[in-house]
This record gives sequence, C-alpha cells and structure tokens, in this order.
Amino acid sequence: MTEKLQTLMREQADAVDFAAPDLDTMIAAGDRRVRHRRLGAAGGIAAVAAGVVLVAPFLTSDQRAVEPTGPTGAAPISWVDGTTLHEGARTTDLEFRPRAYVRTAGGYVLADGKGAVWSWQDGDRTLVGSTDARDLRLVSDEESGLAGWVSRDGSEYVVMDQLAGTITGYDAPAGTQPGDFAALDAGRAYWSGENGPVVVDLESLAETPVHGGRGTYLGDLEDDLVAVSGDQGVVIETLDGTTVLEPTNSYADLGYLSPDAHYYTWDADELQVYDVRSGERVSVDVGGRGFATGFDWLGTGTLAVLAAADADDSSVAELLVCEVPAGSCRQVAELGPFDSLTDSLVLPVGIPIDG
Amino acid sequence: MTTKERQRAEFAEFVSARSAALHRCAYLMVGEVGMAQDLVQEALTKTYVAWPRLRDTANAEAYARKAITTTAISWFRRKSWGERPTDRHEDGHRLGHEDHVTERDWLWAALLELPARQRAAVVLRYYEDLSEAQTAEALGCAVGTVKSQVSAALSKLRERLGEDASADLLPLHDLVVTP
Repeated sequence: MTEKLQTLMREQADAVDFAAPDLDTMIAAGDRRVRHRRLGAAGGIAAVAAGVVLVAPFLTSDQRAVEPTGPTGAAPISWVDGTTLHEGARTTDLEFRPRAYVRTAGGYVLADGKGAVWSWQDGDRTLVGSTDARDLRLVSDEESGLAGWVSRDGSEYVVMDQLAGTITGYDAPAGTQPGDFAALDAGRAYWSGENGPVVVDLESLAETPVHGGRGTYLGDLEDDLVAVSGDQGVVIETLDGTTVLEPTNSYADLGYLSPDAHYYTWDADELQVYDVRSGERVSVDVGGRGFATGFDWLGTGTLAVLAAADADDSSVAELLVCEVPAGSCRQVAELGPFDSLTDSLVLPVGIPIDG
Repeated sequence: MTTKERQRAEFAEFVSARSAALHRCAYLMVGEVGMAQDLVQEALTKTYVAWPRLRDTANAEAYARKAITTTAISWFRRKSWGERPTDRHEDGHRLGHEDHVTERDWLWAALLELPARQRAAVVLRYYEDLSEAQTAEALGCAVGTVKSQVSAALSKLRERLGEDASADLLPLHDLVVTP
C-alpha cells in the first residue's frame, strides 16, 4: 500500500546525513531535569511540614524570602545545609555531612557519603545500618516512625521504627537494587518481590502483588492506591489491580498522591494534576512559568510547586502554593538560581540532589 | 559499575545504535535537517530521563519515537508551524505543469503541507511501518483517530497533487482505510 509514498520517504530520508547527537549535552540536560524535579520534591516536603519561613536560613545576597506558608501545627520544615540540620528556626550541628535523609514522626534517618545510615532523634545520633553509598535511597512514612532502605549487600529490605526502636530485616530477592524499595505507608512496605512489585504488610508479612510485574518502576503508595510507572507512563491502581487512572504522560517520572489519594501530580517539567477518580486533568495556572513541577501535597487540595521561568540552571527557582481544583497559585519564596541550590543542600526526599 | 553508570552506558549504546534511524523519522516529520536534529536531541533527552524506568531497553526506541512524534506536534502547535505555506501548491494540476519539479518533489512538498499530526501518522504508518495500534500509541490517541488522520492525509495528498499526478503516485486503492 502506498508504495510510492513509502519509497519517496525512504529516498528522502536516506539522502540526508545527520550529525551524531551530542551525548554529553543530552546527559547533562537530562541530569539537570532530574535534579530540578528532585529539588522540587524536597522543597515540597519542607513546605508541607513547615508553616514557617521557608528559605531564609540559606538565602544568599541574591535571594529574598517572600512570605511563610504551610499549615499551622504541622511538623517543622527541615533541610540540611552542609552539616547543619534546619528544623524551622532551630538549627543543629549534625557533626557530619549527610547526603540523603528522610523524616519520620520520630525524627530523621540520614545516610552519609559512605553509605552509613544514622538515626537522629532529639539530638542523639545512632548508627543503624548501611546501604550502597553509590546509590543512596531512603524511604519513610512521615505519619509513623517507619523508615527503610536496602542493605549494603542488597540482601535485605531494612525497616526501622524510630518510635518503637526496632530494626527489622526482610529477605530481598537476588539482585535487589536500592531503588527497589519504593515506599512505606501505614505499616506496609512497597517494594520489589520475587515476582514483581508487592505491597507487604509488615506485621503479617502478607504480600499483595501489584499489577505490572517486572519491568515497572515503583512509585507512591497512599490510601490503598499505588503508582506504578512503566514505558507508557504512570498508572494508578488499587491493590487488587483495578486501574484507577490510566497513563496520561509518558514523559513524567513518578509523582505524588495527595494524602487522601484524591489527586495525583506527575513529577514532570510541566505541572500536571489529575483527579484520580475521574481521570480529568485539573487546570492549574502557574503564571506562564516555563518550568513547574508539583512536589508535595500540603493537604488535600493544596499543592506545593517548584517553578521557574525556564528550566535552565541560571533560572531562579520559586516556590508556589497552588489550590486544587481552583487552580490558583501564589508565590511563596524565591530560592535563587537552580545551580546555587545543588551544592550543599540536602532535602528530605531520601536521595541526594545529584543522585 | 554503579547503577547510574550502567544506565548511562546502556543509553550511550542505544543512541549510537538507533540515532540515525530516529533522525530519519524526525526529518520526515518536520522536513528540515536542523529541526530534526533538535527534535531528536530533545526526544533522546526525554528518553534518558526515563531510562531508569525503561528497564526493558527494547522498548526504548518506541519510547524515543513517541517522544519525537509528540514533541514535533507540540512544537508545531506552539510555534504555529503546523501548516506550511501552501500558496505554491494550492492547485494540484498546476503542480504537474511545473517542469522543474519532479514527481518526487511534488509528493514531498505535498507531504510537508499536511498538518503535523496527519504527517506524523503517515510517517509512522508508511515509513516506520507501524501497525495502527502502534501508531496510536506513538501519537497518544485512539486507533480510530489514526484511521481518520491517515485517511484525511491521503485524501489531502491526492487533492493537492491533482488527478493526473495522484493517479500515478497514490492509486485510489491506497485510500482504502482498514476498518
């Protein structure tokens, strides 16, 4: 069919020589996008927790705080600048430099550049394990004391309960990578099992296979819904395998379910929020900014967003708070150029900014 | 080798092996070498970002092709490049009387005059030889939309080329669209 059209296209395409793509430029641009998205994720956790001035303690002369935000009564905002842990207005010298950390209801769990995993509670630092220093990944449930990681040799999923003071190892399949431990929520873990992604009840050890099988990249777990990412994008489904939200954006990485799993925001360069149940995209006006990514839910219907005029390193990163489904946003802070934020800053997302 | 290093090595190998084919596809969609190269660069950057979750790297090419397709359509839409000037070729019969224009040139020009989405559908179906389902996946639309886009594109090509030229270049049976 349409043989001549096919022939024409082949001849036309074959007649042109193309320069090889610039691999270094692509990798640099790709890494930059990933860093920005992760930076956004970290900023979101700060905003959801805080209710205090967000960026003032690490403002440079070029930076300015705009206004505080966040729900009152929430946990204090936290971030690490070098060796200093900031919790709202309070600062603590950790006496070491973490490269990744997460927050739980009991304190913080941090990993250093050598892969040592530390528990930090009320000023006390305790060595609690080790993980692969080349691929630091920590997960936590901020509403309980649970934090987790993959052991350095990859043989165990390790779950610490900071409130109970327990550490439990669970056998991991051969070849388990740090990224195979995806999430913790309400006494359950979401990780790669022998035959694919599973949600495991940490008490009964009952496993619920997650649709998608091997070849998927595990995402979020919230309120009995899981996010699974594959070649076609992210799908949201119930634990019994019923698809709730079909993939709609294959260029997004993962993203974040709102606390009641009503909304999902993709971790992408363009702010995208979907109503999980209806599948409808919710329009959010970010004021024409060229880069915007939702990074955390401050509450149901309130989304923290990292934005900038462009995604370039020199662009000034801003924090917005957007109301969903109203779609309105307000600027909360200007953080400064992206490239000034990635050196010593560590945010509670469980991975290094440059990881 | 770390996971990240391994992924970069795999990605580099993929780019080395498949970038030429992706460039050709992109070129057919946009009709300009420079724009095709920009398009492939952008699509491969998206593919690199997605690489950690593309554990089955056999799917990487489909992912990159989809990125090329949707990015091209997005660029055309955003920059109003979707419809190229058609004043030179409005009348298909007139095309046939331009001595300096070869048969191939007519068809190429007519192809480039198609709206971006229709052109992409034609390239994916008849150059990449994708099934309707695969084309729908790359375009991010339903199979029925692919059928209608391809049908409209072929009709438009025939119309643009005029009866004499199209009878030879695009026989009528070519316009039959699989239900």
